Amino acid sequence: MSQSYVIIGDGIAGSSAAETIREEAPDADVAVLTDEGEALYNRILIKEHAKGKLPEAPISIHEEDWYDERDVDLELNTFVTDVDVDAHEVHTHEGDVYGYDKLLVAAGGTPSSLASFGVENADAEGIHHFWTFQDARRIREHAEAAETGVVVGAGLLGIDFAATCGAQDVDAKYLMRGNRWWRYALSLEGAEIIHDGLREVGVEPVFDSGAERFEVDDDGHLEAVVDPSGERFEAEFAGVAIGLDFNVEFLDDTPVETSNDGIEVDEYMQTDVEDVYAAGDITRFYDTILGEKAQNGSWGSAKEQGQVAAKNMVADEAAETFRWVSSYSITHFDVPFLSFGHPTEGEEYVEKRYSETEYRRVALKDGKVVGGVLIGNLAPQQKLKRCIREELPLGDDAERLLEEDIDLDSLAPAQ
Amino acid sequence: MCMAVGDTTGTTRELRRVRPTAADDVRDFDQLPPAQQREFLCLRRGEGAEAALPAGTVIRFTDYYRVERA
Repeated sequence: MSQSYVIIGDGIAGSSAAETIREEAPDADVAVLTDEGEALYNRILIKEHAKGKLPEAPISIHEEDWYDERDVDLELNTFVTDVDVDAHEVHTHEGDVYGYDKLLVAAGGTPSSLASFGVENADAEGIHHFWTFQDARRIREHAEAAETGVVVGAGLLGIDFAATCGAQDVDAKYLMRGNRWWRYALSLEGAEIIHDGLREVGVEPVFDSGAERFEVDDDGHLEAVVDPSGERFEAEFAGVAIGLDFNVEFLDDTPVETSNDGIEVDEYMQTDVEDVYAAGDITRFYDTILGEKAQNGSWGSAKEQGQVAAKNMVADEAAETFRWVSSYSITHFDVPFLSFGHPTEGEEYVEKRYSETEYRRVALKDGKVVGGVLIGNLAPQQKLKRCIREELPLGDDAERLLEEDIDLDSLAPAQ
Repeated sequence: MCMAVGDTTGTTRELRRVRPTAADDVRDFDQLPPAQQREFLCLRRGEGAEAALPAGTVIRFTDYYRVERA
């Protein structure tokens, strides 16, 4: 009898899992359920559509035919309401029931709203969150028409909003808590290069700020943002990127361990409930390099997690381990930026600013590299990622990671 | 480290800035395998590289670059 696999989510984690299952188990029944109205698209490139730089067509990855050709049952616009892990069933909003032998949850998240923090008018018309292709279409349409804007959220997603404002000639202010962008991963010295990039595209960083409340007109459209110091910024358009709420509600009545950080899985992408796996942004996985639980939202990591989960689901054992060093680049400005590994997880840091546009920061824990940030020159990423992957002990050599050309052979003598 | 152009395959690549169209195969830098990322950065610096990048692909980096046969 053929095995039945149900995958919740058709992002890169869910889609790569479906493809892997089909390769590993040609006779299996595979169903992919997604609440979105379109098949897999290139989530990295949707920001380029919002900026007005890229048409829709190159962003689509799979047409529905792709699933038909692989005999994968793709169900669009399908909301999972609950999972019965005893009966091995997934229930949907339309009352459909999908039985499974193995279940993969790759449902990702939903952008957090400032409404959950009690910010007045946080869901007013004109305030955007950025996660799906549909979001990108709405953001593009509004940004093309707007003259003034505000961005809230000084991290990797917020800067996409800022770049969109810059590309669409929206006169925008980027409100940040603290004195710099992504303060958990960058010192002021490095962040200043990003601040300069923002100014060059016409977006003004505002520090020690944020959104205390939003003001709307009589029709409920956004009019202005007021920050905690009382300063008022006129804005027809606002982008809010303060994090994700993971889509785990349908697991509430199950013993699957979930939290605000997502779904707990081991290094095999398996939850603590038999036959239930998870992959992608939604996981809090055991990182075999860090030796502790970690999260990662990058494309490559999600794709790999989907493949690893699929192989283990088909094998019905811990056949494949997830071991991955991720990276994420920001290329909105003339100067490229790349974070790798876990840049915020260091116990100590070494850093250097080489020029107006070049900077390197390496995060270390227990004498080993765990992550870092490169600005301007991305070439050292391969060697630094190798340091992480191979868990090279650096002893007193950490400062040598800042040399222009890192000589790995002379680093990390055998212990 | 960048390799001399055509060292391994006898083929060469170059990058040309383009405005992407609906017909293009566009990939983000983050979606390239490590060898292709390395080659892209070498080509962008004007240095030779292995021919790991498929010609015709448009790569999104700080701009859009089409990979072309030199």
